[in-house]
Amino acid sequence: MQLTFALPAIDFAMWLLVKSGRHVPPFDQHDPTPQIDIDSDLLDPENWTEWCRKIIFIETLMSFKSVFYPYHVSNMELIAKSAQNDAKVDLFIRILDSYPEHYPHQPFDIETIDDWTNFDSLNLPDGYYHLNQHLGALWSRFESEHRVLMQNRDGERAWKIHHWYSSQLVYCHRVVPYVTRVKLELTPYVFMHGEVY
Amino acid sequence: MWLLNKTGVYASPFNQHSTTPELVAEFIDADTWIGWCRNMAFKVLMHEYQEFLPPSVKEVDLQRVISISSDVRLIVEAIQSFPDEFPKVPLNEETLCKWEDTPELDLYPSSDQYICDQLRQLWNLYQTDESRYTRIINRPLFNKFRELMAQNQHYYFLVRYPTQATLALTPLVSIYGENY
Repeated sequence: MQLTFALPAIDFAMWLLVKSGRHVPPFDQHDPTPQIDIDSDLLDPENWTEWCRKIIFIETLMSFKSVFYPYHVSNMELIAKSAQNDAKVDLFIRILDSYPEHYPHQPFDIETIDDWTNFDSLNLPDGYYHLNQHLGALWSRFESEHRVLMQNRDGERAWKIHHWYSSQLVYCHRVVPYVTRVKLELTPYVFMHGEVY
Repeated sequence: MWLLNKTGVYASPFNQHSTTPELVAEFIDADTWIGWCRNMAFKVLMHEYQEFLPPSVKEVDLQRVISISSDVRLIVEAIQSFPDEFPKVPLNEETLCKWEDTPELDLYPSSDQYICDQLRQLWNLYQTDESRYTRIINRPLFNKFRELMAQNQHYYFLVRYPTQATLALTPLVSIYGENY
């Protein structure tokens, strides 16, 4: 059973912010010179933050799905019992509960789980699907640059950082590579961390 | 433990090895050696604590995780079992960073530059001997230790020793010597 999913879309969102030279506090320490032109308000602070929030919601819902799908997704009693016996399950239930009203909440049904986890690679927020083609064209450039970045990393340090964040039991800490160490609150239980590695 | 064995110093119940010193480290005596072990055990527990819990964790979150995870409960109870001069849970970022950043060799009680230099030299010597010293030669005894750890009732540090011997560093933290 896989309890932690990591979608590359969050790295793509970070890469796009850096490449566009746009700033979303506290991710405002990178070079503001744009290397990519994005004619959209997707990278405005509120919208970019919502994009990241949505990606992490989908990741967490996939964790939920890996444990309870398909027969128990609505079984609140069993879910609560599982959370009492497994700190990781307890954490991702709390993460899902911490999302704003416009996100689905428990009890989930199979259709909702299917809709949300049958995602495309970008997982754009509502109202930005028209950017799919334009951003999709940047995806291969992102992948090749990201691959080079990963290969150049100090492997042991990167592993330690990822291990530390993924083993945490109180909050969801999603880590992305950044030029300095910063932390952005997405919900009371979800934080996005920029780390140098 | 390697140093205790090599210097022939006794720290009861670790008093079954040869008293003939193979190397000299005149600053090693039972009390400071035990104090050093206690400091190092605390550093390990600080690291374990950070694996699961954030700095300055809220009491309500701490209690919930403790009630779910016996691993975390033992780590927290083990930390709280240290003498009063050690920090207590919940731990803040400054405390966690301080312990994380302090090398084990600098945790020797009342340490000075001379002792630090000596320990570093001895550490290099130990590293050449390490694989022989940590290789498992008696799997059943090693498994027995793992079963003990799995009970999550007491935090043990396994070390190689000619006989089975357990030294309590706190009511919940011990060094478990075994010829494993």
